[in-house]
Amino acid sequence: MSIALAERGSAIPQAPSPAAPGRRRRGARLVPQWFLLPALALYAIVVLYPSVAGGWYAFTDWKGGAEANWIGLDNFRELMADQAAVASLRNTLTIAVTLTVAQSGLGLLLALALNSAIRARNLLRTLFFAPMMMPPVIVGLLWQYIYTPDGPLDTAMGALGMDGLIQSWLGNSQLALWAIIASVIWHHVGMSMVIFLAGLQGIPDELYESAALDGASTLQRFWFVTRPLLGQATTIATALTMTSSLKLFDQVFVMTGGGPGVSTQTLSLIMYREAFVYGEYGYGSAIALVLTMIVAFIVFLQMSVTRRGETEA
Amino acid sequence: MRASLRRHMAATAGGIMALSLFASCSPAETPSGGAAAGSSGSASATAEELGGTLALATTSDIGPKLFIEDFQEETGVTVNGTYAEAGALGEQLRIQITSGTAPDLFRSAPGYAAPSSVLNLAEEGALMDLSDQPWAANVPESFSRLQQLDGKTYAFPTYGQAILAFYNKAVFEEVGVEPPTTWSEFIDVLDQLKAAGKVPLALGLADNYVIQFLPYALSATLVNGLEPDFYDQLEAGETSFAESAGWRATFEQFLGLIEDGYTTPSPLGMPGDPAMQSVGNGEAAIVVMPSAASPVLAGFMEGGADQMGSFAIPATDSADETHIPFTPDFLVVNAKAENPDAALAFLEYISEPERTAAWAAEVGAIPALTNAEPLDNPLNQTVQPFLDEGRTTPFANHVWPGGQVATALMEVGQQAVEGSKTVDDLLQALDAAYQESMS
Repeated sequence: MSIALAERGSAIPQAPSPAAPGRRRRGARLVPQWFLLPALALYAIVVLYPSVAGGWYAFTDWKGGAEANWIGLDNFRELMADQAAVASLRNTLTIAVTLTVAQSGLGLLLALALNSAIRARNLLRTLFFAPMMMPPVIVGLLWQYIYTPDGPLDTAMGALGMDGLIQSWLGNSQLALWAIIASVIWHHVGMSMVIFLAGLQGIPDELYESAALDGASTLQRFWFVTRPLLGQATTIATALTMTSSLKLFDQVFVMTGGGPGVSTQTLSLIMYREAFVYGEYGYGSAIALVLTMIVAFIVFLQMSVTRRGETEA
Repeated sequence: MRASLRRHMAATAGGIMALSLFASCSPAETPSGGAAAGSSGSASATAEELGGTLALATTSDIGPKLFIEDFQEETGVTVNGTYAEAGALGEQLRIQITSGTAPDLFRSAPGYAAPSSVLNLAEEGALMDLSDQPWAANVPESFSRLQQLDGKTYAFPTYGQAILAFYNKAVFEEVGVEPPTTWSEFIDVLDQLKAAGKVPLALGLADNYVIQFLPYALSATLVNGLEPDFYDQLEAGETSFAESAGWRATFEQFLGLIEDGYTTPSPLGMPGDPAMQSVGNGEAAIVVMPSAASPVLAGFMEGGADQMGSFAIPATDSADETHIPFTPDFLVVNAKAENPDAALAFLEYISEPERTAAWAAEVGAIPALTNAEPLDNPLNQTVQPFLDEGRTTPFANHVWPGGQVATALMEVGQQAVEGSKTVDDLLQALDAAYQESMS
């Protein structure tokens, strides 16, 4: 060791070996990656491992105990034959498509309205975005109260002379799903509005001025300037809405628990019930895997379509 | 409207609490000095051999905290308690048991009601056999189906709760009716309440779990009382829900109450808590629910608990045939407990009659052990005669094998209320779910 120290402390200049600068550069390049390691390790432990394990459990009969036997595709065969699951898938897709179209459309309309020079635009932007700050469970409880027979909605309709339209909003299996969808739109439309607003504010005024000089009407300016240049915002807004609506759980769980009967059951709800109420963790994992694949496929498809319409400002 | 919303939120919180309790139950009243003075059990006898830490997990510290300080002082054991809502606790325990990190002593739901309930865990060998414990002789016979496997006892019943009819005394006085004791009297009371412009029976079925209460109350008499061998025969494959006259009568009487206009209009659109509030404010007269939710109802009444009365739901015209659903909440000992002696000592410590009573009183429940000191309160006065005469049965879902049957009742029951399914459909759905659970 002393010899090594003496050599290292020598005052005699040493000619650097030809390989040393290259090694130093490579070492320097690796430094940021070493700093990433703790975060990567954490990500692997809390995200990657559980995801892979969940995928594996989908092919087992795990009931929460020590034993988890490989049963191949049995869970998926059971799922295909499960009428409740098929009905839940239908409800899930109805929610996803309706929400994506309605929420994005309404968000765009709000963004267009609040991108104008009206005086109260900042206040209105805040008001429309405010529901987003509320936890979904609270929103569910709030709307369950609003829909109560003789509750605020019925009272308001009565005051407007619309008594004939009053319904048992959550107690009618034909209406309950739509009542939930309306509450979700109220909750999330502010997010779509903000995304579209950001897109609108990125469009240069010069384009509108040029179009106006060319004699384009308001509708033509929207169609030929705004719409193509909102392509990226549309992709983001619809993808986020589609993803969140395909895995909608909280509001359904709180407002109807899937009822009346099975009329508002979703895949997320039956996944929860199978795993945490019945203890069928293997089957619950299979539903989760199928849901993940459906989300991935639909969002990929939808992004492919919307990206075709994207145009740089 | 804001005050009304606040009440709704408070009621919802109460309802969630009641639901978690319904899924299994919670704890009690300080004996403090008295309890400590009365303690002579093995906790103190074995104090010198104890020590260490006792890991305890249950739904609330309200009951255990009455005893923990004195127990620690007497035994030198440090009690490390964790508390969570029943559903979350059950999910967490299920994972902890699998990974070998479950606490020494924890709360468990009765029978097979949930993945982490007593008999599911006992079948896995995850629980300690408690048959030789001194308090085991004081467990009511009616609990055996909920906590015994192959004749062995696996759980300590901390307290019990009953499904009863709770009513607004002011409304009863205004209309001039008395609590009924037979089905005919019950219908007569409902008729008079209806004629007086009241909603006789508040029913909030938008929360699907609420649909269980009335059928469980009726089936206690019509099935458990009149067909006492039904569940043994069902288990043996000798009968079915569809073949049971008791279950058919249960649902016919339940649906009849709705069809005849005795309940909240459009009950499927009414959540459970506003329904309860309507009894509190006098718009409705009666609500059927587990006794654990009664403090919430009392909170809605101007006169508080003094304005609230209770009676057993009759299902036949013979008052002597009436049974009530009465079910316990349990503590169980982990088979792999790190400090099993401390866990057993704690159970023995809280099994003293005055402590059992104190625990139940603290949470507005009813003492579960047969040697417990009876509580002198209106709720206990309603229940005690049924306990004394052995006319109690477990909640129906607690003797069913898994949650599938209760889910079928909630789903198809709502459809039957809506009119898209019949009683036959409902009974067949229960049979199908039962068979699925057993397979």
